[in-house]
Amino acid sequence: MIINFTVNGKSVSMDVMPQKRLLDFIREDLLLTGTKEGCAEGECGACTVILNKKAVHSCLTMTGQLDGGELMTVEGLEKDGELDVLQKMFIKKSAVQCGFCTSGMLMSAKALLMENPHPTQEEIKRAIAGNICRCGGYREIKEAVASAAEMEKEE
Amino acid sequence: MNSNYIQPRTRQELSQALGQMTENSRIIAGGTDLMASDHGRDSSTDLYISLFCLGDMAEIYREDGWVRIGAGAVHDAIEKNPIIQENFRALSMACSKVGSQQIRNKGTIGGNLVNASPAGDMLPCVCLFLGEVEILRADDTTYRMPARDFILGAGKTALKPKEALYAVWLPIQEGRSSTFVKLGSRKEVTIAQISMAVSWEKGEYFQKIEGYLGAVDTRPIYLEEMNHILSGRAVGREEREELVSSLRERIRVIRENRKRPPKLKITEAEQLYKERAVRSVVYDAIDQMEGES
Repeated sequence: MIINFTVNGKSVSMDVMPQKRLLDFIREDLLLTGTKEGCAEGECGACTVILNKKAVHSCLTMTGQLDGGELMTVEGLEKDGELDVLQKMFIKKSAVQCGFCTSGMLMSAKALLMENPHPTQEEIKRAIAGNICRCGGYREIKEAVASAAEMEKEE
Repeated sequence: MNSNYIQPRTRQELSQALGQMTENSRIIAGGTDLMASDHGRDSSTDLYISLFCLGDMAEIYREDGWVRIGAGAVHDAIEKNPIIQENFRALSMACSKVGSQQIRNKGTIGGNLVNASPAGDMLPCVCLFLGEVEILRADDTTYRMPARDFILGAGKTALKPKEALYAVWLPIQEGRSSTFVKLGSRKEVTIAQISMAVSWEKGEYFQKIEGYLGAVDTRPIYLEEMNHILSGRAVGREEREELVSSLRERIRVIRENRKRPPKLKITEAEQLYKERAVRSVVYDAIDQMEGES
């Protein structure tokens, strides 16, 4: 099946296996390995990507569902060699330990800020509730998201 | 991975696709249940029909005293829809409590109903609001039936082969309010252990109360005693406890009549959890009703 979509702003037309998991398609066919596989059943959020401006689990999405859509992966956050403000704040606030949850966490946070640039603490908590960090650094992660929103406000 | 994949863009294309279904074909809406179980790799599936690109199935609008919710409408969209918030508050609340944000962005009301999980959050709400389901056949005609008759049991619905749930219709009932309480094993991203959907007529006291209890039996349970115990009076501790006793007894009977043992290995004390926990659900529901009135 030939599908047309954009990935990180670039238009693509590809012959794909439509029932393949989007997660596998991103990693194996698009060769974008920043998106991680965790639980593979929609519990951990490690595979979160932004599809049509919404955070979704790529492990629970079929590649065919990408047809006509806009996909953003963690690789799409960086612009012209400069990290996204969210990434900068994750580094500044030490919101990364082992890093396995980080790309999913960033994409959930990015989707939140795209829809709601000035979220409350509760809204941040709710947006990342589906992203599990086994290192347990939620406090720093929430601070990093809040700081990124604050930075965006100032700019 | 030899199965075929069809992604209709119109109702007519979907009808045609339904005509190609066999008993080994699957319909995928959000995919939050199907993909978690078969990962798109089930070799016995000969055809997947994806509803993801069917715009009409995601729409929510008013029509002749009803609100029509496309079966492909996702929980996040239903939660935030002003028509739903104004007329079916309990449904908006229930949608806000489904899984994580990622699940709410993808999971659909249709998928929740067709999967017919006893813990499904949409089931008690759609029953509460006297909802009807609209079912599409392969000949491109539809028919409607009460949602209460559509849900037959755990994982069982009245959907026949070569049919798809197309929309959910809820009649607008003026002058009523509603609420939804969900008790799970954790605050966020949780599956209901007990849920309660309640509606009532606004006034000095609660009147004409309707209630459903979810996740305690294979189908939502209608609570006829709620109106008898709570309506037309100031509700105090005595009324709350009377309702708690009644619901506790109902759950006890369900537990004792259960033919199949629980899937999870749980202790005898844990088996009694719902009988104890229903008290907090009743108190939370009445607190919310009082806050809303």
